[in-house]
Amino acid sequence: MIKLTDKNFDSKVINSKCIYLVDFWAEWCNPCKGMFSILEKLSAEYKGQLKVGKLNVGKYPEIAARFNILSMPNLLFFKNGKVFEQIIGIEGEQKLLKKIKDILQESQMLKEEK
Amino acid sequence: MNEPLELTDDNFEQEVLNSDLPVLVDFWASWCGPCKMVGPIVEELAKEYAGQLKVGKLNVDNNGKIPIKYGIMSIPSLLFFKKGQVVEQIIGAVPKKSFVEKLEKIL
Repeated sequence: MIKLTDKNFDSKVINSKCIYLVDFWAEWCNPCKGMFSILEKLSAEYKGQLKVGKLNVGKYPEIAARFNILSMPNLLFFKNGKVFEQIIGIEGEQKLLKKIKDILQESQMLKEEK
Repeated sequence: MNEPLELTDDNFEQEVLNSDLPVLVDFWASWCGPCKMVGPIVEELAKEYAGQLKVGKLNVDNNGKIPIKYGIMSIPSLLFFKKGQVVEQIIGAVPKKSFVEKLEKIL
């Protein structure tokens, strides 16, 4: 999982050629820390199709404000520099993985239709 | 003049949990837009309910322990404490009326 900052956010996420999943988290949000291992797994499984990064909102507040992040954990899915999906709050691992897989599949299908 | 008190991980127990008065705690962050709408409301309440209610603000980025203890995941989050226990809460920016309704229940 890539560590995102205010310096690398645009070059990594906004200019990414593949789908980028950004996990906005905070030091003060304990459940956020439980998401990391799930996202690491996902990132390995979808290597080449999906990039995964995490952004600490307390350290990089400009980015959090830019995307109006108020609840943690907060997952934003970017495609071609734009947010196309969002998952807010904690979910069980299985439920979360299914949700993310569905989102990825759907976006893949859209691509094929074009 | 009663200004909201600045709460920290260190003074929380003494100022909030051991307070004789009920306490309203505003969990906020400097980068959070809606927190700026709630801030002035909380300041007004500190003045209007002086003597009946203690009001404090806790910056979640500077104080990590207390937000974890209370499971804070959204900001602004407002917790109402009475005798060391959370008795009411508000999540997100809401009008002053909603604060007053909660306060009338607990004061």
